[in-house]
Amino acid sequence: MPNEQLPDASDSLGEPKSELIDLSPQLRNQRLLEPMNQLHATRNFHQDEDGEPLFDGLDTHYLCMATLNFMMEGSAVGAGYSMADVHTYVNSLISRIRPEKSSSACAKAADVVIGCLSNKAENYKEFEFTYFHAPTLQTLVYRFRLVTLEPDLDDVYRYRPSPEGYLLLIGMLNVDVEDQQILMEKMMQILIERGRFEQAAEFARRAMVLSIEHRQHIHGQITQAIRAPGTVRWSADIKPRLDESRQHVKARQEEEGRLLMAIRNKIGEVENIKSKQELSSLHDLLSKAGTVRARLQLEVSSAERRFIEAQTAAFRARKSSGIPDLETHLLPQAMIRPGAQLAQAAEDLIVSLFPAVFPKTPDLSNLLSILMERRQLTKDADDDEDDDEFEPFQVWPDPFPDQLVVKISQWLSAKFEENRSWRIDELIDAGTHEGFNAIEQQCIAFCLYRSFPDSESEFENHHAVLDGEYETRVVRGDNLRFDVKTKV
Amino acid sequence: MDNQNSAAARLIYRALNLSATPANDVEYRELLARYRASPELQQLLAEIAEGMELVVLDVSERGLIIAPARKESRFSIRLGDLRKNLSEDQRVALALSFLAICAVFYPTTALIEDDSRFPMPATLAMFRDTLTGLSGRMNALEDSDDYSREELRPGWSYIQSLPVSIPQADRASPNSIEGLVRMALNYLIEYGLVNNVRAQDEGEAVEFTATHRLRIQLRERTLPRLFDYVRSGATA
Repeated sequence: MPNEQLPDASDSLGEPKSELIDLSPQLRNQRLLEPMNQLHATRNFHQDEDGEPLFDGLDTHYLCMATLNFMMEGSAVGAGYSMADVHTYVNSLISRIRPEKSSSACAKAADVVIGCLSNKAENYKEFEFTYFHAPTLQTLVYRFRLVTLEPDLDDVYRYRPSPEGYLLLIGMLNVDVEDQQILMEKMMQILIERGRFEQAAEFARRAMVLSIEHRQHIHGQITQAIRAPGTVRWSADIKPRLDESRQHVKARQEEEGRLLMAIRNKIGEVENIKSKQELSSLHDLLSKAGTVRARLQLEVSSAERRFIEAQTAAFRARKSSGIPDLETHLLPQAMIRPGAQLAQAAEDLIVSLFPAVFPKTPDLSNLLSILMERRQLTKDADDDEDDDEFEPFQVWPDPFPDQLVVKISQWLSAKFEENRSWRIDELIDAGTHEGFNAIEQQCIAFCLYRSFPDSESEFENHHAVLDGEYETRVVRGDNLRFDVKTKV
Repeated sequence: MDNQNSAAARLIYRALNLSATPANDVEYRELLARYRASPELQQLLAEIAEGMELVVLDVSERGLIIAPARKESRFSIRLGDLRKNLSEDQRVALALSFLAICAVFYPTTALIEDDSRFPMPATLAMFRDTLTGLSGRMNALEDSDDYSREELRPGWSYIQSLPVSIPQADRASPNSIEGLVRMALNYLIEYGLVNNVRAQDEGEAVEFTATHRLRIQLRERTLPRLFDYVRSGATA
């Protein structure tokens, strides 16, 4: 058969971009599914202890995919699930689907499923499938794994899907995958949508709060022991909390260590901004939790020493004044006393706390700095209860308008022409007779007072001197007498 | 002999300087050693101190602690030096704040009297809670808060009548419990009785530690006075 007539994966996709997509998606998935197909084909050969078909009523494809999916989730926010974790999961999955199956049958079926994924039949080697590669006219061998089983930092073996395993999973979700990078992106996307990261973050947050609680409790108890030895019992008050803390630290250390490692790897792999952000915030949270835990550990490891130190203090011989304790006796009793009495003793008590100090002498620079100090207004200023009111500014009319003053001045000048002495009361009387009103009479007094000093006087020929007091109906005050100046 | 006189005077001068410690002052250390070794110097210093209305409270490798002999001494501070125009209520509340701070550092007399044990560092919240906790407990014990005679109103009710804190108040003011405690702490820091320690981590509260001087002042002066005051009330 001519090559051109063969369906060719690379034709439809242009140049092959990577090894993974050298086949059409359908063909590739078919190859990747081959191990499961084989299990499906041979499912009836597997029998339980009673000779019954092991996979009776079970969909082997579903079981394999579910197992792979479980491994993927485990490796997304951690270093993967351990062998026991995976086994337990598959076991419980089978017993949920077929509750009537015995536990040993379920366990055996789970073994077979996991064995299928990891190619137990071929002694855990890579799967090998041949296919015809049209461009090169060759039959090539396609080698792959679906899962990898590798030890983590603590030497615990953990399952993770291989790149091909991811490809298969994503292929089943009917998502086009062009290369490894996008494959990881898609997977992260799915995990984020499933809320896996929030879950991990929530766990980390809760664990951190617990760390803080443990630390505060231990710290509080030790502090109490130091303050008042003998009031804290090691076995009842401190030890249980220490044991809990140790367990908590151990468990979280392992868990979060794995998680941190996984996240660091993933951050490098993904390019999607949202996924990166999610991962980075989770990473930050975990680092913070790590610091909090380190402090808890410090508290735990130093608790014993500090407690013993506190306890030994209780046995030390010392002279005693016999004065009751401040916290439990003296302070409460002082508080019960009437405040008015306490106020009298208050100054004595406060002052007795303070040492001898040099008397403060105000020097010039101090005074200046005090004067220059600008007080800051704060909301709790002492007397801010009364709200101040704004009063409108009132404009008072001038009682003696310029016109009036001019008129009166002219009248007065005429009077002073007479070349005689005048007193204020005489002039007001004269004005009254001429029919001046009250304001005009007051203005007479105003103009005359203005002329009291010679320098300001309007009447150059007269000199004002004080001459008793006067009182009229509208104005009263010191009387002034304007004498004619004697010519020199 | 002149040498003795000047040594005594210099030692008094050092003791009056609140920031001088033997730890970083060689001459102070030497003077202290001489003082502890020589009964004559001790006698001389006591006489000079007496003439200046001072009294020696304690001497140790941590320094010579002297205090004013009387409240009227020129070396004694007055309440007005700390804060002017305090009302009677505020005076009571401030005195109780000082005592609460001391009680947090030195809850037991045994702790005060044992020089080899040191008080735990404490935070502002601990002082505040000691004060509010005590007055709250007394309030709960009290059957009614009806005091027909104002002069019989107990001291704790002054504390009860104050808000715990005033939001957004930056200044230490006598109008809230936290403000009072902060005021008292500031005075204690100013006069070398309390130190504040920088917080270890961001977000953690500032911690305060009591100095040796506070222990001595409390042991030699405040505690006996407080005891006398409480006892006089009990017998009255």
